[in-house]
Amino acid sequence: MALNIDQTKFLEEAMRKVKEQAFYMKHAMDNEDLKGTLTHASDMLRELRTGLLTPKSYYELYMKVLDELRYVEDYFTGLQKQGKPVVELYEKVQSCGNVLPRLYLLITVAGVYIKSLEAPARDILKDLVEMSKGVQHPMRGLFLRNYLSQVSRDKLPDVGTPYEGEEGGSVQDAYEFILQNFSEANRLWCRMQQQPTNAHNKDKKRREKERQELRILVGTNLVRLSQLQGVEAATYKEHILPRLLEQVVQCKDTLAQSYLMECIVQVFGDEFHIATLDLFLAACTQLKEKVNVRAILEGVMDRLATFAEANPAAIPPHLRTFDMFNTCVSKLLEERPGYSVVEVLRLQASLLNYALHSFPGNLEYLNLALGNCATALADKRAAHQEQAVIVAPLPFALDSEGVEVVERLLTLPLACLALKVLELPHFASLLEFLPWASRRQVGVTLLQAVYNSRAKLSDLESVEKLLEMVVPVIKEEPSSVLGSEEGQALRRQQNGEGGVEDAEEEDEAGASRSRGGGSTGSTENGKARRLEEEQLLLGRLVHVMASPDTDMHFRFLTVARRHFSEAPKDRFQYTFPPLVLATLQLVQRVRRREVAAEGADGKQEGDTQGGRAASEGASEQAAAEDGNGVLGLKKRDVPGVQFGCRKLFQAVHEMLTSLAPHFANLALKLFLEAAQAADRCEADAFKLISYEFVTQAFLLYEDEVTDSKSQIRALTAMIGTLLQARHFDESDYDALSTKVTQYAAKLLKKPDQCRMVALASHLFFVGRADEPGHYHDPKRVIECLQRSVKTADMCMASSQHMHLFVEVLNHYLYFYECGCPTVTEKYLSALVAFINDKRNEAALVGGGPAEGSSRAAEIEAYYKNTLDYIRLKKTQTDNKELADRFSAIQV
Amino acid sequence: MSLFGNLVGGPQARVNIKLTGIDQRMKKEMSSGRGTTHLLPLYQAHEGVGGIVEVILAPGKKLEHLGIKIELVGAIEMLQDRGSVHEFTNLVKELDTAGVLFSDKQYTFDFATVDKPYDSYTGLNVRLRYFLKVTVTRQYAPNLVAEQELVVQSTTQVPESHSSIKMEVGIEDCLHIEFEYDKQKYHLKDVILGKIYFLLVRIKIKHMELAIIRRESAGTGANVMNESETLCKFEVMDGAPVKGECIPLRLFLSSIALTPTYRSVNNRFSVRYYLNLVLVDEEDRRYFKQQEVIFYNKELG
Repeated sequence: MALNIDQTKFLEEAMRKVKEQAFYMKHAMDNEDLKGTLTHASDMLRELRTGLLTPKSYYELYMKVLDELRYVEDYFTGLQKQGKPVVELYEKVQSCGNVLPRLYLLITVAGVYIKSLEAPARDILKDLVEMSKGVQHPMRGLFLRNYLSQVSRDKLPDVGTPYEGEEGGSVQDAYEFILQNFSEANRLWCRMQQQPTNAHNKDKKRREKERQELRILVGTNLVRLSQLQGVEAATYKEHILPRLLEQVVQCKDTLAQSYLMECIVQVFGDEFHIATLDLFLAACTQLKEKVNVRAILEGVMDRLATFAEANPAAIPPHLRTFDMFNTCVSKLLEERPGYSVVEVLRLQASLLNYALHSFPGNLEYLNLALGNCATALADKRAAHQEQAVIVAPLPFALDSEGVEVVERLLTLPLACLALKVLELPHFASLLEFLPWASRRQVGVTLLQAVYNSRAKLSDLESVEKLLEMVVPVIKEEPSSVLGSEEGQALRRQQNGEGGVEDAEEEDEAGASRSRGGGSTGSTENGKARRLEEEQLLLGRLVHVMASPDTDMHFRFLTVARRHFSEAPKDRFQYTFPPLVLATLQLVQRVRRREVAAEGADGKQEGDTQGGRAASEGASEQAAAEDGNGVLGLKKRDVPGVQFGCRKLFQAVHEMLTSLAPHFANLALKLFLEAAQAADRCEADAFKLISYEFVTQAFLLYEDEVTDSKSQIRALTAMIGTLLQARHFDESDYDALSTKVTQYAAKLLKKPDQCRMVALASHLFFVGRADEPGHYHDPKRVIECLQRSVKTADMCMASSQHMHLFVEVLNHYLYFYECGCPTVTEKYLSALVAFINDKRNEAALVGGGPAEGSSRAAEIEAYYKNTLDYIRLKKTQTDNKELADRFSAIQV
Repeated sequence: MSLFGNLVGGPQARVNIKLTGIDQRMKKEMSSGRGTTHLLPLYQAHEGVGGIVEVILAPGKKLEHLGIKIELVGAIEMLQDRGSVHEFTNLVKELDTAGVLFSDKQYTFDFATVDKPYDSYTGLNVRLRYFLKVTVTRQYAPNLVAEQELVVQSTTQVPESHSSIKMEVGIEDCLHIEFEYDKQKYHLKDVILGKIYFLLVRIKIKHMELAIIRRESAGTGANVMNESETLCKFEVMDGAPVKGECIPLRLFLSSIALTPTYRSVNNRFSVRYYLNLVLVDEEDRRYFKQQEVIFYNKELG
């Protein structure tokens, strides 16, 4: 605090004196009193000799003085214009007794001198940069040299300036000047730290801070160098960079090395960097141990990568920039065994990132970087284990930073590599070093990348590898404390997953937090959602696998199933449906092959085209033959097809069976899907399979589906499936459809009963009479419909039963139109009359549609449309017979 | 009446010395030793001094005299010890024999080959000066006297040898420097160029300066008076250098009031110059090294 107050006081005092002297100085200028001007200017500049100010305050003072020096410059310029030789002024100002004011004045005159072209710029600049050595005080010297740099900025004999020439000098003189000023400034800057003090750490820290504040004074010189028009890449390589690097390396100062290397990277152009990469990298390995070389390397890599992306042809391929970086990194690691593992990893990550951006698709480079990491980690682990024997038997584990780096390292290439990752042998080995949660994260990213790339998995090895990599997405972490398989199982039983989950809880919470405000609910909620997302993602994997060979494709699916089965059962709901559906899809392809193979063999096995009734006998025979297996199937080889449809169905059955106890509704739906798929195979052999699947679905319905809504969904699906099916034996079909109708009639709610029974009625009137495989049972149809009407009438809420009546009326109409013999115009006319009665009744009761008039209006419109339809049919002329029949209905 | 008038009513006559070509002659400012300075005509050692002596009578007066003479005197005066004047040169020329002047009269004079072996000099304790003195000797009235001071300067040939001064000095394990001045002999409008190398720095130096010291010794025998005078202090370096640093030095002499170095002028006085390099440490201790340099006149002025 006291220091601050003092600072303010010192600064104020100095400022006051500067202003005072500046005032006298200007007064002297007005009187054309050169001597007085110089005297007061010197006195003003003398304030800069202070040693009391901190860099910040000194800077303020310096800026103020610089403002005043501009007047001096103008004054000198005026004198020069009047014809006074500047050389006289140049000599005159040097009589000032103090070195600092003398040099400020000298530089000021020099500016005018160079501009006047009365003397070669080169000589003047040389003189200035040399004379400035007179100030050896680091801070004062730095500011002085900054002033020199500023004044000379636009007076260098650069190409295209009036100062260039035989006499004035060339760009070489310009950069020599800047280089010298730079190296002197840098030496002063470094010296600030080296100054011997009896003080302790605090002082050192403060000085470090002060140096940070002053660094720009050194860096400016590099900017000036980069602004020289006449410097070409070759010159830069031959003459400039070596000098800069020499200075940087020689100064042996951590702060300076870090800052200056960064400056060099930032300030000079990309072409320059490309031309001099070898030099630059060589210097990188010579820096002080504490310099963050990685940051510097990343800087260069970023620049080159960005440049290469913008101008792909700009970097000559023979340059092999990656190898250069790699060599540099290897050398660094070799020479600095003290690097922490994390640092090593970070270096490799930078390298990898560079390879990714500059050489997308070059797996060799990526693998190299990953391999380096794996080696580093393996070494570390070996060392750790050696130690662990004696000290503590803890397993080798990365710290959180290391984990983060490795995770990043592995995630980085995913976006552009996707499936090609599988070709990187070191990817997997590196993955092993990560903890479960991180591996899962990498797995998720990998999956996303694969999907984004739209690549397909087409060989078994890749499938296996990929699944192996995403194991953490599939499974929970196996306990690592109890080593053996048995132990794990034991522990799971005891803890019921709980232990593992708890352990994961913490980093989970962290992950969801870091992922942003996505989870508004509890962590538990977020976790569940995350799990769902991940599992769905995993499920998609099934669709990425593809092979023209169905056997191979099935193998893929089998492998996937094997992996998925190892997951906790609650995850089956996400991963199994895709598997099942993919298998069912495959069935179609296998079936085609089978049919083709059978055709080729000339063996017409069964009548694949035959209807239900026609193939009855054959199917019985098939059933008798297939006496074994879960589905009553026996493997029958079709030549060339290793895994036939039966095998596939068997797999589906197994999967669904394992799914059923936990997710009945889902399993039910999938059983029905499977049944349809089997039915589509259009061979008698599959009738039984289809029947078995439907049966399984029905059993599930009976045992597991209990709530009304699910029941309705299930029933609708069941009815749909049966309607689709064409190849059941009549007796089987009869049994199944009867069963469904019974289910429908037993529903809890009347409206549900009504609707479902009406829907079930369709089961008894399938196909037109002239179609093969049609099934007509008109009596059952009318029974169902009548039952529906009755049930609807039993419903209490008028608005509801009105709707039901109209619905049933529509069913009636359908069957009437189809020509179902039991559905006669009598029923229709009666129902219409009945509905009309009900309407009038409701109107009488008092504007019935009090609750939800929109609903009432809806029903009214529905009814009206239905009636309109009937009227339309009556007038339809293209089908005379139908029109006649409709005319019989009284509306 | 006239006698009375002679005694009371102002000078009967004035005597002026008019030097030949005075207007064109180079002048030099000389201090007369009491803080005042005069602009005086400048002569080189071998140059003749000639001119006209005018005797101007007051209107209607006559001047009776016993003779008119002009002297050219070169004298060394000890300032502290008034009256101790040593005339090393005294040449007399009779301008007129005793007689009476009734009107203004002019006499030409010419000291064509007078030896003026020494330069004019005004120091702290000693002064060397040349002057012309016209004396109109009268019998009863005091003599009429007129003086005209001259400045004599000799120029020296540019010395053949330009050997520099180079020297390594130091305090063991503390400070070692090597300094170099580009010449041993500088003319008065010259520039001293130099370099100071720091070979070893173990003290915290605050700054470094170069001083020019004039050492004047005057008198003979037991009466020798030595006097040192710092003519200028010129800061050369600000702050502490590190080992290996080389600090440039450039000092323009023209703005400093120097004279040439004089060694044993007429065995009565010497003026020598020294460059004194001073390093001041943070505790204001001074480390210095003096080195004599010779100054000479290359050209008049």
